[in-house]
Amino acid sequence: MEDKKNKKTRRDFLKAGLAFGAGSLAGVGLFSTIDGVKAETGKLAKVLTADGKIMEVDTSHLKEFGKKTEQDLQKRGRKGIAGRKWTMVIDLSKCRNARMCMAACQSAHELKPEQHHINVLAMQDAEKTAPFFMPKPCQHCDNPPCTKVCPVDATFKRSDGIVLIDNERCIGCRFCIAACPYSARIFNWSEPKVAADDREYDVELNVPQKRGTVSKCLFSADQLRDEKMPYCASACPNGVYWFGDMNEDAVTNGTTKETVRFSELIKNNAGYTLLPELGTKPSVYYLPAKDRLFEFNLNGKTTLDNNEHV
Amino acid sequence: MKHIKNTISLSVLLLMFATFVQAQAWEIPDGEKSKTNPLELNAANSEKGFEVYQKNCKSCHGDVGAANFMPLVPPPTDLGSAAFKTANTDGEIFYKMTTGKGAMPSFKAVLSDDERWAVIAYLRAGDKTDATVDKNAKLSIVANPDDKSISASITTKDATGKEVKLVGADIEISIKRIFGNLTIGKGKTNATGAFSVNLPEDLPGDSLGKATIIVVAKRFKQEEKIEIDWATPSKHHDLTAQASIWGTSANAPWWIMLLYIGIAGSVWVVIIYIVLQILKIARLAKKNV
Repeated sequence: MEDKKNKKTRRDFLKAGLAFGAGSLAGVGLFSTIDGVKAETGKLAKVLTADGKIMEVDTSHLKEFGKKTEQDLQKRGRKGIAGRKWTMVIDLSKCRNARMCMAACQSAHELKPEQHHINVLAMQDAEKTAPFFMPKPCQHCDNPPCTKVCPVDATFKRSDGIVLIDNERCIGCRFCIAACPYSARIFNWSEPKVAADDREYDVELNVPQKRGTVSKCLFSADQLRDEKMPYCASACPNGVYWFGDMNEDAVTNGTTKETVRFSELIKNNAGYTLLPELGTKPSVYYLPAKDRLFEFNLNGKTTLDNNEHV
Repeated sequence: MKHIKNTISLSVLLLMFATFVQAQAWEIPDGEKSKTNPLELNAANSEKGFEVYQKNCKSCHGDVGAANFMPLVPPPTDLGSAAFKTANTDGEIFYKMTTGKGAMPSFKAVLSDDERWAVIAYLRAGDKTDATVDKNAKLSIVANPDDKSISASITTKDATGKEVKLVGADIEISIKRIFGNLTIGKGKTNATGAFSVNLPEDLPGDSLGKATIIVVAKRFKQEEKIEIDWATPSKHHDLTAQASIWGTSANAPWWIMLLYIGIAGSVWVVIIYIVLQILKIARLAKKNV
């Protein structure tokens, strides 16, 4: 009796162990499904191949020709564009707060007027220094603090230097918002401006936006894939933005389409990056507001108040 | 009713504002008015002016003569229109560019005097520059990998039908970049009829050293391309390939992985050992009863 009881306990222990093992296996299975491995349905569908043959394939492998599925979009969005290293140069001497960059960005990414992937800030360092306007997108750091704190691998750095966020993975913990020293990220507190319909979520556009997740500037990764300049850069009427590939050592102006050498532009105009002391290595460079085309004018004010100095 | 009233009063206000803005004429000192363009009205100055115009004026004033300026209030004038050109002397245009007014910025700090006069030369020259295009002109390029130079020349036929190389023809050589062409050299063909530039050593091609060179002879409406494979290969530094502490475990540094697995593993070993010991005690207890 005692022996039997003893054996039973041991068997129970083994059973428990087996159940644990099976559970872990099921867990792995579940995750692999999320990762995109679809189970075969066993049902066959007839399809016509390009050379006119009728073939049968499992319905789980069917996808519409030419249409990118969400998984395709996710996969290419994670990788980045081979051989590129995107960079932006913002010429502060040209900015006059036209805010066309913000409008173009908000319309492309379906953002509400109060949500900014790029924001034009009025800056003045001290009482006697000259105020200026400063467009501030995500700096796409080469040593990003935000991606390191993400607990679910939702925000990531690509090989072409862009930092993206996957709203399908984001759990809305906002660690990345806290980690970013440039306040480049926004949180979708309410339902997005344009509701999600049957559109595929594009990680390179962050559209459709999703409530309860973080969104940020994407360097218009979808535009770059088509070899077009970012929305903000091409919308600017004043020639503020230069954009290009650092590997090619060239940047092109979004307004005038003039192409110059990146290294020379930075060298000749004393280009700088924001908060370099943090070691984040931004991909966005600024040219100081020297030899300005326009006087500073913020709703009639030509200087900022004392409490607005930063 | 209230709505209509509001609309009417708003439009009256706007109309008043518009007339006020228009009524504000430029006050140009007499001395400035009578200034004349120190630059010669030739193709070279006009071309220089065209380049300055494209970079600084086009975004508001649109293409010269096309009346496709920005819809602003007051509207920026089409600087190619006959009305503008007859109403303004060279000195007046120069003064306006220099001082600016309202939405028109002052270009005093941005453009040199010469550049501003060149724009006026371009506006005055208008279509004079496209006089006649030499139909026989032919642009040819030679790329020399040995000294990394690109040489271009223009051949045409003289009166007797013999092929000759043009001397002093304007040529621009540029390299293709993703969003536009980067000029590497610009000049006139020399006595032997060639214009050549060296591709800068520090200007990279793609990862294999390939690049597209574009040669333009604007005055002859000629453009030629040539592919080279001897440019300096670009160095692509893939930030995601290296070991880093960013999010994914795929390329976490090996020592972190080792440390983590080691610590987690030893914790589990200890737990399993304790559980086994407890079971052993229970078994012993049963045996001894």
